[in-house]
Amino acid sequence: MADKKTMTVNLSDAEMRALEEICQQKDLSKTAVVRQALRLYQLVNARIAGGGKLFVEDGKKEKAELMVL
Amino acid sequence: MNKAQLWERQTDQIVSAELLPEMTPEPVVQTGERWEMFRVRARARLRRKRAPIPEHDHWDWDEKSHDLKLTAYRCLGIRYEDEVQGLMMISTLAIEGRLPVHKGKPVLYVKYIESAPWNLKGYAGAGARFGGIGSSPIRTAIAVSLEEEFRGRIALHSLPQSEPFYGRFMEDLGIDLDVEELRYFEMGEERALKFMKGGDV
Repeated sequence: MADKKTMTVNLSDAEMRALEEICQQKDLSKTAVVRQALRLYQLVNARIAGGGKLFVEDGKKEKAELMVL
Repeated sequence: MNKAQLWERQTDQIVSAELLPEMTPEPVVQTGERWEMFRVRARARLRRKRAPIPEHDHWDWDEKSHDLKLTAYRCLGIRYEDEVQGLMMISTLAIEGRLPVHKGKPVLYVKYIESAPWNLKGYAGAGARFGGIGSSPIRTAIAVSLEEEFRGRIALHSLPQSEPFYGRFMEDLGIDLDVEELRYFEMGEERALKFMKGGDV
């Protein structure tokens, strides 16, 4: 993997709790979760910019469109 | 990890090839073009003989390379004697594990693995040059999974022609109706570590 750069991130208590919760659920470090989040955001952003739409499917195979800013 | 082992069928020798850990779109497209030139001739020969054409014959690396501008995707190659012998595209945006032992945990997804057509018996017949193009990328995918903190877990959907190969070392979780009715395979951390230690090429 390419060289990495270090940065400081400022999060609220609630955001930090959310991050720690995901780290625990997924068994990943904070850095790994942030990387995943960035990849997902970039991917969704690119698909939407290309005219795509984002849907989430529930257990009944019904889809609901999500708005992503 | 910057080497991959290939088995040269004619000499029955293992050769050490160079692993290209992060290919940019341009060499991926060029590789696809070189492979297509070989495939055009091979396809014509197969049609004359009324022999089956490999299932991935329509794969277009030019189209696939568009996703490489995104950080979620990465393309790795195996090069020997200035020629790319195999390509693999992976998604480092994890998918959720389905095996009970790691359900919901992040798994590295292998989108495509392709060997150069001159290495495939389906195109080149008895003259196929290298084997091991399938297992070397799998080993690399496991290494990337470890690097990404996914503990070696990997997954893929297989074309029917490759099911027996992946079934040898991955868990078969059946046909996935949501993904072109392809069979879905997963490998957990224990099997991944065994695979890394094994000499299977």
